[in-house]
Amino acid sequence: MGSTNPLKDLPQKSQVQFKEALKCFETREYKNGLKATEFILKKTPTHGESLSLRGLFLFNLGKKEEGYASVKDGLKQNIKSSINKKYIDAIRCYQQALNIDPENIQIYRDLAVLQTQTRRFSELVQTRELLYKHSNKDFIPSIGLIISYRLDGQYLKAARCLEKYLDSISKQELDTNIISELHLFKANLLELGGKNEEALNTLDTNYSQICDKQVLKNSQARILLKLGRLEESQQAYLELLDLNCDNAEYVVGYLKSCSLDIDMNLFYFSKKSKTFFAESSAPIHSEPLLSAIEELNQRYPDSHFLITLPLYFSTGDKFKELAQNVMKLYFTKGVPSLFNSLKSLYINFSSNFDPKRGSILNEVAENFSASLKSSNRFPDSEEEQSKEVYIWAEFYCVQYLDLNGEYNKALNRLDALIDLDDSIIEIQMFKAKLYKHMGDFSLAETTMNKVRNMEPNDRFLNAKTVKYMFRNNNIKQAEDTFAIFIRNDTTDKQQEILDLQVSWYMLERARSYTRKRKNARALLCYENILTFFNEYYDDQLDFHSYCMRKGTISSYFEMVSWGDNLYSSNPIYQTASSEYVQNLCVLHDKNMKAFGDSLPKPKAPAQSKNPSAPVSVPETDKSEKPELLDEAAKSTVYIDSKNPLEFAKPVLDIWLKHNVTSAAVLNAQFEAYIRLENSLDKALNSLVAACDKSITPTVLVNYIRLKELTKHANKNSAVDTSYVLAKLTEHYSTQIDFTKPNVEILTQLSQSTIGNKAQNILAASIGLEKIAHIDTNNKLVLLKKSVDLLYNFVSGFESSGSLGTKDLKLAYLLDIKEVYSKIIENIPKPKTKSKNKSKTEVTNANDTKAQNPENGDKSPNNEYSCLQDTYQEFLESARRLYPHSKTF
Amino acid sequence: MIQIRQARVDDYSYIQNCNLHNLPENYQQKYFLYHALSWPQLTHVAETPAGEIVGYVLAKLEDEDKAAPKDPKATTNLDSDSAANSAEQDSLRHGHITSISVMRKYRRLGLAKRLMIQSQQAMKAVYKAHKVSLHVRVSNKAAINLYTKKLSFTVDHTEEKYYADGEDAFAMNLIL
Repeated sequence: MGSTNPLKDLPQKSQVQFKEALKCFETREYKNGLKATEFILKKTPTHGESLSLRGLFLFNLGKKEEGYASVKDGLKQNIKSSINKKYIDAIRCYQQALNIDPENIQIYRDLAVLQTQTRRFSELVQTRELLYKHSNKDFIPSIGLIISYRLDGQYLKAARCLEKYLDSISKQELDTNIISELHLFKANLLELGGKNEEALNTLDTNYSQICDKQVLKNSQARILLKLGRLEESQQAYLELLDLNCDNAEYVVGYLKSCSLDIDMNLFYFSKKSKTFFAESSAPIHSEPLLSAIEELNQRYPDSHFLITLPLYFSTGDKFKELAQNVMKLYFTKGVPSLFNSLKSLYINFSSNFDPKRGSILNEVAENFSASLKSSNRFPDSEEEQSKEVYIWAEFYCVQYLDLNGEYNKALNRLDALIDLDDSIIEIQMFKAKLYKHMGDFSLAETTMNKVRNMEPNDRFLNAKTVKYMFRNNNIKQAEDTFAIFIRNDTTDKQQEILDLQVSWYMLERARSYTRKRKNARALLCYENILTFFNEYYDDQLDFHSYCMRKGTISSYFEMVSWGDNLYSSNPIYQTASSEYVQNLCVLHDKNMKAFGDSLPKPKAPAQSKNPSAPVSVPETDKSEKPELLDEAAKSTVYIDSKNPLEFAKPVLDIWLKHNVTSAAVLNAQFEAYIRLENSLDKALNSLVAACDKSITPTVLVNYIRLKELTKHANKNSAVDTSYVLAKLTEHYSTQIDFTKPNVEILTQLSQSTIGNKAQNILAASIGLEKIAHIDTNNKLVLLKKSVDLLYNFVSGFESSGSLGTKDLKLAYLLDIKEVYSKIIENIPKPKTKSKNKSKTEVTNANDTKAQNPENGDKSPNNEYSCLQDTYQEFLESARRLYPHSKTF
Repeated sequence: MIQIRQARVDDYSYIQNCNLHNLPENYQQKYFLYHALSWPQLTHVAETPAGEIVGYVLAKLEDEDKAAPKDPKATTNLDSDSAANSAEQDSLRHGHITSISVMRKYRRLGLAKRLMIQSQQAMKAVYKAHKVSLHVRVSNKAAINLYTKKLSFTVDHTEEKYYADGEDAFAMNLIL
């Protein structure tokens, strides 16, 4: 991570010299330019851009080797500059160098690596063809050329080329494992090119030379299935299952080759993508599938996978019978993860979802638990079970109660279990989790810490405890606890954590700082995670040539597509990068507020800060260790920044370049662009993308904000939001009338029954709060309306009684609290009234306020205390709903 | 409903995460990638239906004459490891378990044993390795039980202060 500005790390004088050097390059004054770069490098010998530039000057002055080395050093040093730019700059340097020295083979080799790294495949093919032409046609240049064709999508050309190469060599020349890989590669190329028969032939004729029989068999089975040669395919899949009966791909392949209709995503729920199935469900009950799976299961009785798979393809009584078998088996074995393994049956991730399956599972578990408790036997069974079997059955019940939000019931039953046996770590850990769900982060932390002390050498328990400490905003303690498992022989534990790329730790830490409103410290943690991912991306570089030499070709292509999807598919990156940008927006808004303006506008440097605002100040905690002061010092980069959103630009670039489009990312993108100058068109793009993904209340709110901003912006930057409007109108049909004023639209959103009700109300309230800052004339009215929505929502929940915590999640309440405090912060505090007085008012006015909020005069002072009152009432309601949470 | 399968390159960042949660011996992503791109068949993962990696075995191949680097963090020199054109068919090779762990909650399913068996199968079938070796903390009774009782490993010798915290390791072998 870091800025794209190459001058950032240079002293003032060097910056001038660097600009001078660039000018020299354009005007071809190479000698002067060289002098300038050497001046810079004397002071900053590792400055990447200067090294590269120096290389170019040397080239042009005829010192080719030296120049080439300098360019290369520059590239190596330049790990800080934005990832894509760095490689593209380097390519430019090499191409410059080749203009001068067109025969330099080494430069072509390095150029090919960079072209692969930047995925410029058509150019790569040209480079590889040239290298091949000038080579002795042996392994490396040949395989390099073939790989480049494959990357460029020319599968059959690559296959022919590989065939020619294989014919030309004597088998003794190469390692047997490489020969094996080459045959598999050829078959794969043919398959990719649609030549399935030929691919199959290659596999058959070279059977003896292919070492990796499992991959060989899998390719055969897959192609046979595609060709409809089902019997042979079935046989191949059975042989594969003999090798590994817990492999989902083999099981599915086998069932497909039995002409059965089955698909991976009917039972596989990717937590990585976290998408829920919105349409109505059509649960599958298939007798043919069930009997085929049962047959397989008889052949492979040990397969965990096959034992539970039938649950996904049955309903009703059959499902119940299967569930009983599964539970009997795993309760007896004492498997703590059973509930987790069956959890996807409770989640609507595909059309195969059936809510009845969940209730049957609960019913069976309750029934077993009761029977085991009273008679130490499963119902209808004579065999006596140990006490432990009851414990695991009861533990299952506790977990489903937790999922249902019935925390108190769950806690009571868990406590009884612990009375029975207090030595089972998993059960003790679950108590901490329950406290967390109930909102008592402090008790959750102490409970988890006690569990940790039961087995202090277990790192997993340590990691969990650290997470709970961060959740409870006990940052110092979390850091110290985490440090226990960092090697003692390293000089700098902080550096070790960075070296080991501990993303989860940095993420929890960042969030803790965010909650404590130490945004700059949080930003530093997020920045570390972004750096880890850039390191991952850079890690590919060495493997482009390594894999060619080693001959691990199929994994190499896996690596390339891993690199392609690194940013777009990893949930940790998506979370960290979007929260990084959101934190920058917070800093930006603070800067704006200090100048009494909320519209994007270039502003004067922030000299003095508003001391009353809850800004992050450099850490001066005396408890902090000296090495942490480093971080505090580093975080001033963000605090002192006049324009913090500059830091968001490299992230925004990566999102666009790597097509990172999770909902959180699109939202953060929107937030950044509406704050950046002349970027409303880009904000619209983000909104359209979010809209095409799925219509959420956030999309609606952002649409209204963008419309408002357009109204207040000058003509040139106004944008056309009609596409989004059309989508929204379609989605909310009669429930929301988009021709009405904003306040009306948001009120209708808060009453809408489309989507999650709590989310609608929350979004409406947030929306009102946001437009209050744009439509400053109606600020107070809008804020008041926002608060009313929240208050009525929470008190409504309380009075209806029947709705439990499952419907009003703690997270919503915490969000509501956040909105409230934002609103209250944003209203100028009354100067005449003391805080104490408004507090006494709360107690007196408690009864009347809710019914008659319009009461009284509209002076800002009165409005302020009115909002304060509702806030206090909200806190009281929240406390009643979540009595364990100390947050309210 | 846990499946066991060969690791793909895009699993390795999750393997790294699993390793960081479970064990004190950790490595950079690049060292994991080095395994993925040198001996892809030897590393296997246990995956839940929700796509979480809850266990892994990370393994490599060693030539008999070359000693294993004691410090696993020791940088792997990708430039020196040339395999092409060096017909090494005849030299003896053996597999080595770099790291194995299963998330605490997913124990008692025999996942570690299943992972080990997959890796051992591949060592023998793909690379003709004649044995597999590993190191284990002398205090880790559960792991020692798995290796000796369930997988028939034998203790070759004890390596003193093998681990960074000063604990000794049993060096174990199994003839494949």
